[in-house]
Amino acid sequence: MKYTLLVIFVIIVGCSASKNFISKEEKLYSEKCAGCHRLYPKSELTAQGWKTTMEEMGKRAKLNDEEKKMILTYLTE
Amino acid sequence: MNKVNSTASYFSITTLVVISLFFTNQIKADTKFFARSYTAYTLPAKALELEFWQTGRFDKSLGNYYRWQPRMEVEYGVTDRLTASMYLNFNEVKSTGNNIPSQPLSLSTTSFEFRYRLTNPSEYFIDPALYFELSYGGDKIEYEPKLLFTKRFEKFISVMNINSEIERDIAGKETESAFELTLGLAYELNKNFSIGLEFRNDRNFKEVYEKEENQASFIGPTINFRSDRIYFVVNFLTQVSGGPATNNNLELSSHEKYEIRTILGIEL
Ligand code: HEC
Repeated sequence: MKYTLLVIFVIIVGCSASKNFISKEEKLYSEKCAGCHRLYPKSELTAQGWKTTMEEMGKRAKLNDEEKKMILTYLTE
Repeated sequence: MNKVNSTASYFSITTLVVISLFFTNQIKADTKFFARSYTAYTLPAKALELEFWQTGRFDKSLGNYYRWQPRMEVEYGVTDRLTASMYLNFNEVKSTGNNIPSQPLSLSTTSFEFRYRLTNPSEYFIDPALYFELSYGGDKIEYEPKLLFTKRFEKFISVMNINSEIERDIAGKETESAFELTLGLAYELNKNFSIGLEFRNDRNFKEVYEKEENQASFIGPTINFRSDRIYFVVNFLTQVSGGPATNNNLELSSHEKYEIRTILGIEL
C-alpha cells in the first residue's frame, strides 16, 4: 500500500511538471544522447570541440548524417 | 555435465568471447550506471550489446553458504525506444553445516526481456519506462513486470524500480511471488567514472501476494566505469534489516547477509 501511494505520487509529480522541448533539434539531442551519460550543456565544449565529439558520438548513437547535422547545429548555434 | 566441466566451459566461453571482442575495433559501449536498478533508458536502434553478470550471495542460515549466479546476455535495440534481450542464468550453491543443498554450476533459467521507454530523456520531470521479463527452466516459469523511473539533475542520476515477480511451479502447481523496490543515486565524477549508492527491499509472498513470508532491506556502494569500448559496474550490498528476524534484526533464512554484483557490458 505504501508503495502504491509512492508510485501514484511519482507519476502525478512527473506528469504535472512536464517540460516541452523548444525545438526538434533539442528533442533529438535528448533522445539520442542521454542514454549513456548526462546531457552535456552546450557551453561545456567549443564549437570545434562539439564537431570532433559529434564524429565519435554520432557513431555511438548510430546517427545518420542528417541527425548528426541537426544535433551539431543545435549544440553550436 | 559434471561440475568441473560446466565451470570450465562457462569460463572458457566467457574468456574467448571477451578476448576476441577486445581485438575487434568496432566496440562501443552503452552504460548501466547501477547494478541493482535499471535506468529508464534504452539502447539506440540497431545497437547490439553483450553483458556478463556475476552475482555472489554470502552468509545465509547457519554454517557456510555461498551462491554464485553468472548470467550471459545479448541486448538489441529494436527501435530507439524498445530494447529486447535474451539471457542464460546459471546457478551454483556451496553450502555446509546447514540444511541448504549444494548445487553444482548449471544452467537454471532462460529469460526474455523487453524494456520500453515511454518518453524522451528529460522531456518530463521524470523519465519512465516499462519492463517485462519471462523466464523458464526446469519445471518453473517466471513473469517479472517492472516500472522503471529515472531522474537526472546536472551530474546526478537517480533511479527507482518497482518490481513484481510471479513464479509458478508447473508440476507442483505451487505459486510464489515477490515484490522488490530498488533505489539508486549516482554522481558522474568525470567522463569515465561515476560513484553511487544503491538500496533494495525484497519481499516474498505465498501464492500471488496472499501472505507475506519474509522481507529484507539492503544498502551499499556502486562504482561505474565506462570507456569507448566497454563499461563495468560493481555493487556491494549489506543487509541492514529484515523480518521475521533470525539474527540481530536480520532475516537470514531466505535472504543473504551480503550480495555482490558485477556487470561487464560490451557493445558490438
Ligand atoms: C552508447 C553510449 C553513448 C551514446 C549513445 C552517446 N555517448 Fe557520449 N560518451 C560515451 C562514453 C562512454 C563517453 C566517455 C568518453 C570515452 O571514454 O570515450 C562519452 C563522452 C561524451 C562527451 C565528453 C567528451 C569529453 O571529452 O569530455 C561528450 C561531450 C559526449 N559524449 C557527447 C555525446 C553526444 C552529443 C551524443 C549524442 C549524439 C552522445 N554523446 C551519445 C557514450 C555515449
